[in-house]
Amino acid sequence: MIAKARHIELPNVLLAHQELEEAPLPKYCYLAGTNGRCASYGLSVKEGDHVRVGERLGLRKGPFFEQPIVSTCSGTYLGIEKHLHHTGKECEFLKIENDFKDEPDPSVKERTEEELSALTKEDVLAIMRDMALVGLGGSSFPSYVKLQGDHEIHTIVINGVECEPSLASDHRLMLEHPREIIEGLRLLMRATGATEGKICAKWIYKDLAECWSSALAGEEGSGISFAPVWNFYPQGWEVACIKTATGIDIPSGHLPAEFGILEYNGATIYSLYLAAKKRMPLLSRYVQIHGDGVNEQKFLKARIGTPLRDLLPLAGGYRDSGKKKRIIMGGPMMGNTVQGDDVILTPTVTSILVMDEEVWTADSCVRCGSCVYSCPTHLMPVLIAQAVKSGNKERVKALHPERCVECGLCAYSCTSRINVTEYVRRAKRIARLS
Amino acid sequence: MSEENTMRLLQEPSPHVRRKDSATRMMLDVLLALLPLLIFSFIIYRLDALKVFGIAVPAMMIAEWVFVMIKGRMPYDGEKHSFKERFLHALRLYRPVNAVAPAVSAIIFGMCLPPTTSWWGVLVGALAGIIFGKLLFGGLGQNIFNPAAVGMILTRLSFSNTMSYPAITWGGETIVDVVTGGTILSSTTTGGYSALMDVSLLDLFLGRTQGAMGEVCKVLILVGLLYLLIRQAIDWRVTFTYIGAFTALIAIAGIAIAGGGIIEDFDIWHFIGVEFLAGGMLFGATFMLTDPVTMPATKPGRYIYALSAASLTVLIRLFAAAPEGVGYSILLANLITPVLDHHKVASSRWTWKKGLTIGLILLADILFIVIGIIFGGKVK
Repeated sequence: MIAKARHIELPNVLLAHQELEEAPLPKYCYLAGTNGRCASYGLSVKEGDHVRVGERLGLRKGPFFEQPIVSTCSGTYLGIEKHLHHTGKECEFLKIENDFKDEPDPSVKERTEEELSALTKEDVLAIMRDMALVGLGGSSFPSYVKLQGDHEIHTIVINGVECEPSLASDHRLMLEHPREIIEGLRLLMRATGATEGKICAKWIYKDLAECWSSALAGEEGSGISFAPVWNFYPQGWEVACIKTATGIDIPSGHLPAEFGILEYNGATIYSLYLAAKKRMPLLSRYVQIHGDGVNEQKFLKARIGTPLRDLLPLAGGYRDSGKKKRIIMGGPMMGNTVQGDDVILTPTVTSILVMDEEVWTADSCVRCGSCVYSCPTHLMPVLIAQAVKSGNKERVKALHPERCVECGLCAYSCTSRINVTEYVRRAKRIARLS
Repeated sequence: MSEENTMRLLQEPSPHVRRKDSATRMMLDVLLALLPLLIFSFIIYRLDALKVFGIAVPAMMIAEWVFVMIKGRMPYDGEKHSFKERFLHALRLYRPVNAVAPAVSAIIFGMCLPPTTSWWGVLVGALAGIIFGKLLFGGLGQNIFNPAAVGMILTRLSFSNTMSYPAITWGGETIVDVVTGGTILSSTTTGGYSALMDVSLLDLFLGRTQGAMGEVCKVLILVGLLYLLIRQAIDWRVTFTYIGAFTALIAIAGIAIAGGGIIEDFDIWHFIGVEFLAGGMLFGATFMLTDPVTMPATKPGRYIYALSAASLTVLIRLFAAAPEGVGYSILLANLITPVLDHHKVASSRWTWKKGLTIGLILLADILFIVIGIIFGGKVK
């Protein structure tokens, strides 16, 4: 098929809107010390210390930022253990024995409306930094970095698109917490001086449109509006979402802030509201355990820090099909596999996809051009793959592989089932190193 | 948990799903689109068709199989391996696509030949087409030239003295008698368009004429084209650009002829119709030009490629000493594919340079056609 791929057909992963279930609190809660971005950390607690919800236990050190480690449960700190991070890296986690009391730290105090409305940009920035807010769309990049800089902001785009097929966590969050998101957005708009706030979700979600039109009923004149966007993949990509919502096309290599736009995930704004209003960290997330590798697909509200091994029995364990399983953290297009099920839920984990093995044997490339047509960044993946195979660095660099967002559409649409995305990743490394 | 660490987990890079689609399926679609034409040629030409396809298809398939076996041979590792072991080792590279691709090439190649081509002509053409057109470049996906076009040109040039066009009978009624000289287009090399002025367009459309086996029945080609477009097995951009540009340039030529008063009693619509329906233009546009391997990979590249092919077809038809321009123009257009896919030239979006190229090609075409007709004084 020589055609652009815009919709992802899922062969055997079914998912619709299941009932939300509350997952039981874990016996042991694990907090990431190191993670995908931060390689070291310092602790301010000792083994045996009693910790409370919202307490700062230490400081994670990243390449150019520092991030406090905030506890999401109360109990006794037991020490460091090695577990898998959702990125597939083995990381050091702080093990906390849960006392199931959820005792809040003294620092957890509500801000009054007056205090909230007096928050300046610097205050919001400080809140984001001190509560370790990260981009919950999947990047887990520190949120405050986006706020830095002197660009004049006129529009804030809330991304609730979640374009990966079969994911529903953000959808559920947008449905359950419209008030909180509006409050968080208003706070951010006031702090940055933005006049417009656009809340983006796919137009096919009629329930979201209804929910938000009633939530925004009294908000005329505030500049906040609900902006339905298209239902294609990768509509949830920052640039695509901004383009559909505001009509502004952000060229590769530029920040949205340069065009007066800030873009945050809906869940990030929700956590900003919690941090600003209640001085609370985000405690739990909606997590899907789905795919054909588990017996029962589940949609859970799970505490951050829960090990996956506590959640798998809730989904009925692995379905015995005699095939090898893949555990994919994230959606089927961009999620990464992990080498074991010893994974800890971090704030960015919203989907755990357990799938049976599928084998695609690659044929020779027939240069049909589907990857070129599909690429949302207008790259030419087939030529990049050829350049990588030829080993010619000049050729690789001339094709600008650094613009790739690794959405996976080139491999998805490949008629010869070649993993083109992997070639482009190699091209990115080649271009970076030379 | 009971299954602790007993699960064997698989690691793989994303994405973890693939479109339900394969290159083999795309080629099977082409085969299916060729099926009506195949049946047509078996009904009309009977044993002649059997001879052509019965030689071309096995020849190309065996050549490809031998190539794959050579490519996949076991490297020397100091140990002795049994013949069976070595055979199976080489065979593991042979995939369904290696069977379907040469079959498609062979049928397209056969369709381009007159039914009376001698069996050695078919054999030499088929082998030369697949070996020089494809396998020497490295097999499927590596070739620059369309193997069917290479074979067809070679056979037509080398063995034309063995070709004649047989009488055609439709339901017992003889439509066309044996004519020496070949297709209706080849009569233009001597008599010019004037020789075709009384040809019925309906006969051309239905295939009641002489020509290569697959090229005569335009209805069935259009059926195949429709199927391929519905199945998205070919890129519509290439086909439609080619057909559109061809028609537009022929129309310009018609206007020039009428304006110059070159031919008496000139009916421009009949002229366009004859040029559109005669020869292998539609067949080439549907089955040969759209071979994805030999066309550029980018959108602007594909438009330029199709436009170049159309220009060459028109120019060869109008001015060259050859009756048919489709085969040559496809091979020449294949030649510019590597240029259009060069990393410094290719771009997936339109740039002003690409637009300029299209404009210059069109301008050159119009200049050539108008000057050639008005000052050349004759249309062949």
